[in-house]
Amino acid sequence: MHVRVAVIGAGFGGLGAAVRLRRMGITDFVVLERADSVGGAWRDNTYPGCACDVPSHLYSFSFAPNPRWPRNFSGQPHIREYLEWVTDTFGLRPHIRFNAEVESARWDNEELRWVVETTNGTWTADVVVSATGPLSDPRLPDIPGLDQFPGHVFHSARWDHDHSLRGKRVAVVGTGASAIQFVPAIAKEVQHLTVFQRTAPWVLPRADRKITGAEKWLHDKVPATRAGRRGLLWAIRELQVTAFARRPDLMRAVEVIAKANMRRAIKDPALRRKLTPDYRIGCKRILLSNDWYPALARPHVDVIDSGLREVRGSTLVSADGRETEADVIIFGTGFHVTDIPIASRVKGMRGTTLAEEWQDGVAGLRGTTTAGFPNFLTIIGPNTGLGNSSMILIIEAQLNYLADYMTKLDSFGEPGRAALAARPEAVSAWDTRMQRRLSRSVWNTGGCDSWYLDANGRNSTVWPGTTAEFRRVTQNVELNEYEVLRHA
Amino acid sequence: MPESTATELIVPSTGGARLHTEIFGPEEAPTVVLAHGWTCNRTFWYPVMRQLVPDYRVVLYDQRGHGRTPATPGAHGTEALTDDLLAVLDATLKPGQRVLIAGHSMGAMTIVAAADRPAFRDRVVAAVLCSTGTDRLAGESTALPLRPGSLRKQGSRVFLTTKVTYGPVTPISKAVIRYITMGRGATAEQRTEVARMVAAAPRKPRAEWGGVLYELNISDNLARLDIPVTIVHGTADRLTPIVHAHRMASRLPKLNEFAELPGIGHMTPIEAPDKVTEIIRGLAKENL
Repeated sequence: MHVRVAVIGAGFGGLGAAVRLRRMGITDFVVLERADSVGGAWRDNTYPGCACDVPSHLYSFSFAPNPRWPRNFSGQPHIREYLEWVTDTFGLRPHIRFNAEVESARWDNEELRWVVETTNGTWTADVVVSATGPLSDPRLPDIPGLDQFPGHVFHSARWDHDHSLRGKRVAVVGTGASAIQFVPAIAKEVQHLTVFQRTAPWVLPRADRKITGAEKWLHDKVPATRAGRRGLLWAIRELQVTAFARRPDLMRAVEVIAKANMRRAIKDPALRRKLTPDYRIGCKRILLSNDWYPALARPHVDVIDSGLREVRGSTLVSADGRETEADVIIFGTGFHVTDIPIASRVKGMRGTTLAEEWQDGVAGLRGTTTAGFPNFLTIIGPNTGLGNSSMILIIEAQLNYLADYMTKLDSFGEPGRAALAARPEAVSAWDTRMQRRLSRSVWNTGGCDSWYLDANGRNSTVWPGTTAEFRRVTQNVELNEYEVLRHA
Repeated sequence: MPESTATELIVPSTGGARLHTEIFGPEEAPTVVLAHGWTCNRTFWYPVMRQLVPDYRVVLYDQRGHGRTPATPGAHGTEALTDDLLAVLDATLKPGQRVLIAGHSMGAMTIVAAADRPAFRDRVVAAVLCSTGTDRLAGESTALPLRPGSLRKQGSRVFLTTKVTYGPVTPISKAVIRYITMGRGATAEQRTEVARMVAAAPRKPRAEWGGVLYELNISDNLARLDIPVTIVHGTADRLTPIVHAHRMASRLPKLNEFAELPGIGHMTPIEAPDKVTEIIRGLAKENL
């Protein structure tokens, strides 16, 4: 089957792309989804307490406002429900092929199109939009003896709800954005909880509350209030960018708030020491929680400020030799971000995979395209991540780029007559610009090792500017940055 | 000098246009017609013509409002371009005689615009399109160092349609014109030549033609240009970036060759006369 566009993934990125294509009048496309429902990360992450740490009125599509958000930091079930609603409202379901995991995508130099093989059929497509997301494949550390562990083991992104934690001794590995949400949620029911913490996170209070009926009513009846709320949430975050990207010293002021937040709940000085980060706030993702510290202060919760080194039977050994017993291990150890698995399944014009191409560092043009991979657009591609604002803004900007890309392709005549390939020099110029700007950012200079940095310490994940700037640079496809490939 | 051996004639065309036309080379040789572009004139093709004349009869003419052909205010457009080309063919060819046409920029647009006229289809056996485009000219041009978008497009529109003088030929104006129209390798003589030609273009017709270019959309005609066509385009073209050439190439029914000239700007016949001559000769040999 040939389609104009094959979209990979039915999360925020893929569904957004589908809406955008339909709005352009392009209906000849499929959305390939490996699971059996939409939602992406918001379908997979079902751990207790899972919520977004960007306010819902900003963490939603501008073209699909939801006046009914129950809280300002709505939980995963509501976000997933929202995406189901978007899917139905915009008539996307006929386009989605469920249980179709992409096994390979290969560029055909002769036919100028992609051959996409999935577990549920093969498609050819003029354009591939890869919206697999950077936070979709759980990363499990390779820990000796783990396979001999007699208890239960799972990653927070694949939460095992059939397995009750009531009365169990539970060990949690990791103190990132996921752990900080599920630890307080499970702390009440477990018999004992051990948290392995390699690096302490900075945690700010979360101004979470119910959206009142009056607000919902107002947002529903007077759309301008909804837009105004969103605009305010957006503007505040835009103003913070300077500190993150150019003036990390200004972040010190935020550390004061974070420390006060900790002191309020943690009275034990030894525990406070353990929980105080040794790097500039913002270097790793800033976490928001009101119940993380109170949970750690509970008597049956221990913090081991060291990583998990080894498992001996049901004994867990930390990197600095401390031992603890557990019945269940839960990994909150994040995702394959700088080594996304789809990269090793995509083969470009030279027959090499994206992973091979990115061996020495992920690099893209305007966060979207890559040299040697014609008509292949990545949603949330290289250097598009945000430290403080809503990724939906980035996604929508990239959808503008996608729309202009399709328009420009159309200008070459019949679909499939030509393809665009990012010029290597344009990609490296863009990447150099990114790296130069990031070199003084808090992510690079804050003194931490984070998932923003790849194995070589290169920052290929974060966008170093405001979302407004990103929107501007993705407004148009500049054709002089592309080579045009035509049928011989 | 071949110039001195030119036969000059005035070809009447529609709307009262009187086209200054020159014919060079042996009377009995196969004929090649060369059409120049905006703000240029027939002398634009002299470097190529000189190399063709031993073996070809070369016809050159000034488009209306350019060189020695007076403007016909209010009658400038793709119809006029087409009428003028066909008038020149009629006046310079014997009945039934076939011809190859090479056009540069607006001269090449003339060829595309004329592609669906019966008189064109009867006469023209092959064409060379140098440094041209058929639509989106203002949108794609990178002559102004701005991001793409409405500002750049408006800037291009001003540049195309202004009646204000482009100024005298000075080192500064030469540098600006070089930046916009030619690659880095253009020689001093080539720079001066182009600067003089542009400065000599009368302002009002220049602006009127600029308006025509701004709104030009003749891409649908490409499908009707069903004769062998060679596309010549410089990779450093800012006025009509090479993407136009790719666009045309993917729509032409009989693309003969796609000649990409590395480092060359918009003025391909001036910047690379040897290469352009070679391409015209090659296509003429096969088809004339």
